[in-house]
Amino acid sequence: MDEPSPTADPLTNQFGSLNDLAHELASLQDLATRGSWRSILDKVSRARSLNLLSNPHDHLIYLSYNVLALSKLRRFTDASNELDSLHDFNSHHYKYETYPQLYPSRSGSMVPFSLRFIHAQLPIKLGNRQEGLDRFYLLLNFVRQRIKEKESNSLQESVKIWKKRENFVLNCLIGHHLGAKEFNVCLDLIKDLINHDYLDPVLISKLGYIQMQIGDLEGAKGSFNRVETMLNEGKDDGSSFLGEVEFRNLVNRNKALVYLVGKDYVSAVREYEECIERDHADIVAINNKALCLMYSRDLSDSIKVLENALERVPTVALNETLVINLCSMYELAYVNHSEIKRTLSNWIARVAPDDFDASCTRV
Amino acid sequence: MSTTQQGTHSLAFRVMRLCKPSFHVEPPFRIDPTDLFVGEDIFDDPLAASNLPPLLSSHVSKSTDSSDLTYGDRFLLHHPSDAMGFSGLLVLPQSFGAIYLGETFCSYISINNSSNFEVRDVIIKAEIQTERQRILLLDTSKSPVESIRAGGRYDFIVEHDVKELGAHTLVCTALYYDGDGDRKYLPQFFKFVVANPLSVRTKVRTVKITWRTNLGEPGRLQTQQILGTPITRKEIELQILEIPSRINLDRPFLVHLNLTNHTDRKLGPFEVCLSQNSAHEEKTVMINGLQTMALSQVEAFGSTDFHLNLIATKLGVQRISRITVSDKREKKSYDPLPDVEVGIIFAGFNIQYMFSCHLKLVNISSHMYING
Repeated sequence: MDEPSPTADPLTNQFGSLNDLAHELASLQDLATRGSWRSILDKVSRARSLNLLSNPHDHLIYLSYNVLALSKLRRFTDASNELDSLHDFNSHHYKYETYPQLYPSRSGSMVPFSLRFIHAQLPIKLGNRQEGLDRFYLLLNFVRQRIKEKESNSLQESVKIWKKRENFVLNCLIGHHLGAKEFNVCLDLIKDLINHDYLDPVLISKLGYIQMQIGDLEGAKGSFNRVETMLNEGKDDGSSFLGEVEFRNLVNRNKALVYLVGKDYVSAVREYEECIERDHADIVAINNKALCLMYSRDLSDSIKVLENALERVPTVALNETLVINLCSMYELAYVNHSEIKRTLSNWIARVAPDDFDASCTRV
Repeated sequence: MSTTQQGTHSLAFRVMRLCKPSFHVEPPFRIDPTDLFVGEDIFDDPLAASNLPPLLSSHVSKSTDSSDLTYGDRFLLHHPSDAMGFSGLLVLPQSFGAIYLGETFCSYISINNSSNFEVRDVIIKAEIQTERQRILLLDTSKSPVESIRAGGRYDFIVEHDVKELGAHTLVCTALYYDGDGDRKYLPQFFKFVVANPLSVRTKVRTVKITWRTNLGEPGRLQTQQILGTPITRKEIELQILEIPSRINLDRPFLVHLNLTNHTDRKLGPFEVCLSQNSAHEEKTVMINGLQTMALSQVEAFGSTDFHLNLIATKLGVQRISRITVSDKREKKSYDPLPDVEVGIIFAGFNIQYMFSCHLKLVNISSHMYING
């Protein structure tokens, strides 16, 4: 690392814009939201080789974007190696108080929390599920210790942030257990979350989906009823993330699932159409409606619904699951499906973000 | 999976098994931008605590703005539970999968005209052929499909309750007039195997089993009537009522049990222990304290609750094995309880899952070593 630059004038607002937080952060963030992960790798590499990063926190933030980009591009081993180069997240090298000239009267860890998250998730993506889960549970412990610390020091804003992180890690864990069909653990974890936090209709709906997945249809209906009641009673406690349209669509989609499981595809389609009417970018409604059409023997319309979505709202519709479904439909509808899949594949190559997994077209 | 006859055909069958779709699950790399832009402890700094949130909130999407034409949602969290990677998106079955006795076989069948000419008077049949029988699922002989245009399709969905094990063939046939006016016959065969979902051992006359798999897909089986020895009700019944959900290594824990006397006379007194099996395997879960527990007599048709004080000496999945009750007066032992698997954890951790886990001992002093 170069000689650290002198501190900024303390009277200047250090938090006016993203670029105040790190060197050209706004540009990094812009590239990330556009899915231009390869450009991010280039930018980081350039900044490093031209010594444009003067401060330790700049290095860490650039490393975070780099590791995230590598992960997005499914270069998991490279991402892992880069993370390992830090050796120890808790080293004093990464603490504000180690550089009092740069960060006067600031103490604590300057490691961006996403690094800890990526560190836990990478082994799972590399096929070492046990290691990843261990890391997630250790991370959960770590977060909880931080919460206790901040609470005892009355650091309100920090407590809020760390509690958000606790919530985040728990959600990650539910996802990983769900992927491995460890349903009992999932149910325990998600019920815990629901009981401890404000009543979250999205979370309760997801409880319903898990119940449905394991065949507990009565349980699922119960969960969906809870959500609908919350909508009807106007339960929006402000910390909910749902706008009204989103909330209504959630309720309709839950209803549609119940119809779908009962093989009443016509009613399911009707519910999804209500959603799409309210929000033409409701991709879950669009995708699931297409499947219902197919299960009603209307393969042609199911294909049209998905193709239409890709054309109208590509940034929302271009997702691997939707494409997998569309390709399955092509394989069923066309004897010579390779041609039409290739057309789709070419279009995707032009429009998709760098992290789109094109193997889903099976071309 | 399909075989057809030689010769050019205008028509071809495409077949896809339609078991229920499943929810897509894949935890993504999606984050809160706060966890990328700044150090994790920056909010300890009061200056940051007051100035950062307004800056950050403009970078966190609070509501879906459909005019936002970026791929931000692929990397930013919109709702905290997005981290689960479980949005309710359904995905079509990607392979035939396993099919079991008692389930319903459902299939989408599409007959495509990939030629440049219309075909006419199409008689379509779909049958399931097993070792024992041929079951007709669809037959358009009475009202043939008048025409399928060039590039056109005719679709149908068939269902069949699977009642036999082993090899099954879905036989699809089409009899039609092609573009040249020739009467053509196209058979196509799709094979699959039906397996047994359960091995059922019973002590009663018949057992009816129903289950639900993916998204509530039902299955049902009923065994044939079993002629065997009638049940002999046990004299005494020992059952486990409760085991703590969290059991710590080297720390005593209580298991709540109940002993019921099903006879019409007073029985006991009793002794409860964890008996050895014939291999004399070392036990990792033992009684804490005196190795046998005494219980007083139990009245006719009465029961008694008690607690066994146990202790586990190894981490991970262990067994509480061979809890055995003996009648001291009649000098007889009853069959031991089946083994119970429990997860043993280290007391310093707050780990919430127990089964199929491998735990590493890590030094939990004030530092966490990431490569420990």
